[in-house]
Amino acid sequence: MKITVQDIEFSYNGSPALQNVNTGIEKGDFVALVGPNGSGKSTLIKCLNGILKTRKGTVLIDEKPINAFTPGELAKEMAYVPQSENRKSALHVFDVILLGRKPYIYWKPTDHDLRITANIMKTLHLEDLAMRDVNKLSGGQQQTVFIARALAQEPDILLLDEPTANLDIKHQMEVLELLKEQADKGITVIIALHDINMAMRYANKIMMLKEGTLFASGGTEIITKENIEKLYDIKVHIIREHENIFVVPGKF
Amino acid sequence: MSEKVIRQYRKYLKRRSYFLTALFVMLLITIYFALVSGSADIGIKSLTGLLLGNGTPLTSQIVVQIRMPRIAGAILGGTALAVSGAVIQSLLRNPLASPFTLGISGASAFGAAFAIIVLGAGNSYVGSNDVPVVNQPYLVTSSAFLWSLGSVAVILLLSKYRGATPEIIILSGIIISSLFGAGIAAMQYLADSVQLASIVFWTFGDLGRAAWKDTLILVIILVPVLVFFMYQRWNYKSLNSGDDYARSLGVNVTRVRLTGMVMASLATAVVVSFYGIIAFIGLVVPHIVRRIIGNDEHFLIPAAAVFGGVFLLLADTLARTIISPVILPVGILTSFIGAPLFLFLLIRGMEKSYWS
Repeated sequence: MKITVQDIEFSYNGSPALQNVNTGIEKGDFVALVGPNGSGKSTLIKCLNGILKTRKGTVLIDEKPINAFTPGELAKEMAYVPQSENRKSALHVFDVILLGRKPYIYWKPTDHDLRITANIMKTLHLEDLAMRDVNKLSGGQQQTVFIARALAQEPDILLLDEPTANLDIKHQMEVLELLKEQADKGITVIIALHDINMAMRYANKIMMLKEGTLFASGGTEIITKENIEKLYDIKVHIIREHENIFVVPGKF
Repeated sequence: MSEKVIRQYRKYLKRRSYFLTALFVMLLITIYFALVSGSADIGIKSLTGLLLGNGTPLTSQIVVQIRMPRIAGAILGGTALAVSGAVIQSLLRNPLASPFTLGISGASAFGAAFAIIVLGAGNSYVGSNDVPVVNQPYLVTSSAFLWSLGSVAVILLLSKYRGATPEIIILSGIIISSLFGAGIAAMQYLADSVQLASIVFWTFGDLGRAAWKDTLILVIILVPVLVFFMYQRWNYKSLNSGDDYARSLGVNVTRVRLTGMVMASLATAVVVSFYGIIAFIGLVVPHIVRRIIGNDEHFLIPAAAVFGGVFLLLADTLARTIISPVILPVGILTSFIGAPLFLFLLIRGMEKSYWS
């Protein structure tokens, strides 16, 4: 689904967190949001799915503003994977993924809900973990479970807030490969990421946020020495090797 | 292959429903024990005689007018308090929360006393079995409910602020409790001796007042509350994963939390206004149930409902017989059981095991 962001603005208790953000995202795009801590990546994600109400501007999904959706309708279009899940209580993996069916459940889950949950577990190779306590899984496994839960919502848009934050490089790549597959199936993926090299490797669109504004957005052409140095306020080298570009931190 | 996972899940569901069935059987056994225990010697023979319609008038009087309403009161009261506790714990994501620890019970008791002394529902007289009777139960219940909403408002406002940790919420519960405790003490000071007797009864819960007409009111209020909680259980499950995530699932977090807290305090207030403060049921029962079947609200709510009934009925039967012929108020007994458990939870750290 197409997402259009029109001039949104958001502030936490008076201090602005997002200002004049305008952008368009096409169906099947893999969008990476990059920028320093506190630049508004998480805030933007939460504005996109209506968890936070923007003070100004609108977000349109296929030309329909998100506040014209009921919360239940919106939950069938967009799924969200929070940055860190502060789970107080333990559930097993099947139950956690089944929770993604919540927008479709009225009194109790139907056979259809169970089947979708089981199929997603199969696709993501989680079947052997079905009855394991989610709190006792490794970081990579947990993240896969949370992505599976989001996919159980059968969304057209996936929003993920730093899903690779606590993972080693292998698991980061596994998670990103998995998301790339979803984008190839036509699901729009929007992900906050810290690793610019990973962003370039997987995303077809990169949005740079700095102090709540959209600093630059586009393909890999926006990954320039000048942009990165301004964005993070550091020195970097850009290394080009064949078609690949690498960002390497330089001396201060 | 995916069939196998579904089969595993169904097996899990089945095990949970066996547990619920076992709880129901336990309830029936407890009811039987409650029927036959007491100073009047009534055994299975006289009970079946009564059922077949040829019991003596005395047995019938004792069973139908004294023991049965008390049993019904214990079951309904235990159910209400335990379910309220389970729901409040989920809503606030706080393992130490319960109607008693948050001060909701204390506020309700104050409201009940307020209705008797200030609003004049207190034409109470000492009834036939040395138990004060209130003439206007609706006024007392309404007042208990309204005052309990006051404490809920304080708790919700506090939890709205970021960083309102479980400990802060519990501390505010202690403050609310002691405030209303002081209010009750002031009422006692102002009351005449008959009113005093009935207020004292509120401060330690006792099922001795149970009568059929209260049972009806309890049922009328509790059944819709239970259905409401069951209907909301998937919302409560979502809340367990955090407010933002619940919102992304389409849950109206503010409304779910507010309605849940109001319903829980309604259930608490009606129990407190009839039977007084029965402490710790709302804390102990959900914890025991969570320990056995886990944190899935889908089962937690019905299981806490049934087990709450079993627990309070068992406690009350024990209270009636432990130092017979003296009948202890059950609230004293539940405090003796609940306080050490509460302490245990605090010492061991509530982030451990199933609340990890």
